[in-house]
Amino acid sequence: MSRAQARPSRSISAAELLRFGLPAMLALVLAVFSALAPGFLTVANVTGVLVNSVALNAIVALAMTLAVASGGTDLSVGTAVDLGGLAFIAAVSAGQPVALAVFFGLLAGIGTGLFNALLIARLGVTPFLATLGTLFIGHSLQQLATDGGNPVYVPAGRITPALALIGHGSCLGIPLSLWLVLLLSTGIGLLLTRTRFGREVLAVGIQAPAALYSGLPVRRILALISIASGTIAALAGILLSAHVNAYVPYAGNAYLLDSIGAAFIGTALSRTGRANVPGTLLGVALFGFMTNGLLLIGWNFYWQQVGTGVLILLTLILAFAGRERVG
Amino acid sequence: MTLSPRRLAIDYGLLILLAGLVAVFAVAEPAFLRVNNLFSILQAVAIVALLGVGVTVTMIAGGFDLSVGGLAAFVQMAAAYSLVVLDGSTGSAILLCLGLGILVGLGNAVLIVRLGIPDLLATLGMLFLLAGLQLVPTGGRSIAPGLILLDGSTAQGTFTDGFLALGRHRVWDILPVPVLVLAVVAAALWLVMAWTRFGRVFYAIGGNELAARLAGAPTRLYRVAAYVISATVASIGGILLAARIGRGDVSAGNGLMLDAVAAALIGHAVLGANRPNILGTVVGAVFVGVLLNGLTMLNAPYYLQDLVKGAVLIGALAVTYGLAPRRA
Repeated sequence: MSRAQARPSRSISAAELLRFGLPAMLALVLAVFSALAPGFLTVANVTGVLVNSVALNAIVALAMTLAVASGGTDLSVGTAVDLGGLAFIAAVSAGQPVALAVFFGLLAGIGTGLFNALLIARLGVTPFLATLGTLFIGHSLQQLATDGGNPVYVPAGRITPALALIGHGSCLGIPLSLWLVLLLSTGIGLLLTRTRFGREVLAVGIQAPAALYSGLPVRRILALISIASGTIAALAGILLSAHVNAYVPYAGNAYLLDSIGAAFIGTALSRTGRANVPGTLLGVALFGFMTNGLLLIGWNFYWQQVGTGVLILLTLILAFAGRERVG
Repeated sequence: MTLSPRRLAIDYGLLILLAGLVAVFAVAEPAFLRVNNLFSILQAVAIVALLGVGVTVTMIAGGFDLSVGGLAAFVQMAAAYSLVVLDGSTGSAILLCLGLGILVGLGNAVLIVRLGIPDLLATLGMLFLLAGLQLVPTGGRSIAPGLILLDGSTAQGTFTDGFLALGRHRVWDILPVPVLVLAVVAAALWLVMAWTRFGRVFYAIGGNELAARLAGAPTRLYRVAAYVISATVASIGGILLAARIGRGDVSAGNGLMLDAVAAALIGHAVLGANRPNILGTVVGAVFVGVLLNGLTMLNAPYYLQDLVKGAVLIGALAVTYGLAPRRA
């Protein structure tokens, strides 16, 4: 905690930059677009961005945050989103009760996580590589299950009020997906910062061999994190497919790069250099509002992509230019 | 060292498996072993193998380059733009592509080596940037001769025969140009990495950069070189890709990155290297190519392809990680 104070005074600006880099960047993006696009800073638009873009991205990015905290990268989060959605929609279409379908969806996520856990904890494969293999296999599984990649639509007769509740429900005027983000980020945030298990996860992430020699059950921790990550990502898949009453193959892969970007930007811009929930959420919000703002001022989707790339690089340059002076 | 079965499995597992596969496919479908088919396999994997070789160079120097797939796709669009829209010559298109590749490599190097941004993040940002930029000149559409431009006029240029030959010509009617290019590039980089002191330094930096620097190696220069090499090789891959498909396709780069990374990772398991190596990467790419080609000949559905890639990747990882002696 006293790292910033212990440094000579000329580096305070750099340390402050790291602490406020992400919020400052978000504030800047919000300010610029409010000035450029009249419709940007309205309740309707902000709510729209939060519900349509930020919520699901945030859930997947939280799953990624757990993986990053334990020192890995989970390339199969998109796969877990897809398999969760597939199992959920398949069960709903077959006439199963929605609660049971949710259970099946989660089970698919747990399965994905278990497979990763087997490779990572049992065989000792690096998480990045293990989850890359899972990504490929998940892709094929979806093709096998859908005759080469056809979407599965819920028959009109099976769209029950319960399904609509998951896809479009809200409580106190706030959509279900945002409640879930709130719940998950509080839970994971507390887990990482306030519990013994969270400290153990971070210890494994910083120095796995040291953690092992200190007597931590490193393999069990990595296995639990894999399973948790898969399960949380599958939740996003269930929400996504309930929202559109359909399962669209490989839709989850769209979340992969964004979630990596958000989790790593959050990590890079934290003073401790560790994965953290507020950083990830700010990263997701930054991407979401940036894309939306560019859309409102009339930029095409490919310029949005260029903008996101420039934004990531600018944020990183800002962060690391500051850090280099400190180090 | 005695040749225990375990050591044998580690060192030659993948090669033995490859020989076994070839034997099985040859028995099941005699056409598999025709020279033409074998070269078709090599042609199919040449571009992925090239990108994989580039990634391998950065991995040897202890880094990672996620942007190779995006760069190849970007270069492929640039080549098509230069030929079709600007009505350029073969030579100018190639120079433009190589120039862009070197520029992107230097960009990656500045971000990673000069500014100290983690390699995964920096190249991920570059990937986003390139994926967007490649769509800008044509408003998100693929480029083919006769393209209607954004200002309503029609593009005058066309793919020159010389350029198309880079992807389609077969030397002596048998050896496809991309395979020749792959052979030359891979052999050159393999010689440098495995047999020269420059290669040693790359590996030393990958092992322990601080130690390499203290031993007097100009580590930053080498790391810059690694990213420039990787990007240049990727842009060669992009040129071949454009020549192969004969248009600038916005979706041509899909999956290239993961396939290339997979090839490089499978390569870890070749000859018990247990570390990135150029030869292994090429063998890894060929291995996947043989498997896919053979399965296709045996009428396996195309959607088994990714399952096969994943299984091979995990199998190779299991061999490297499961059998090799634990290094704490």
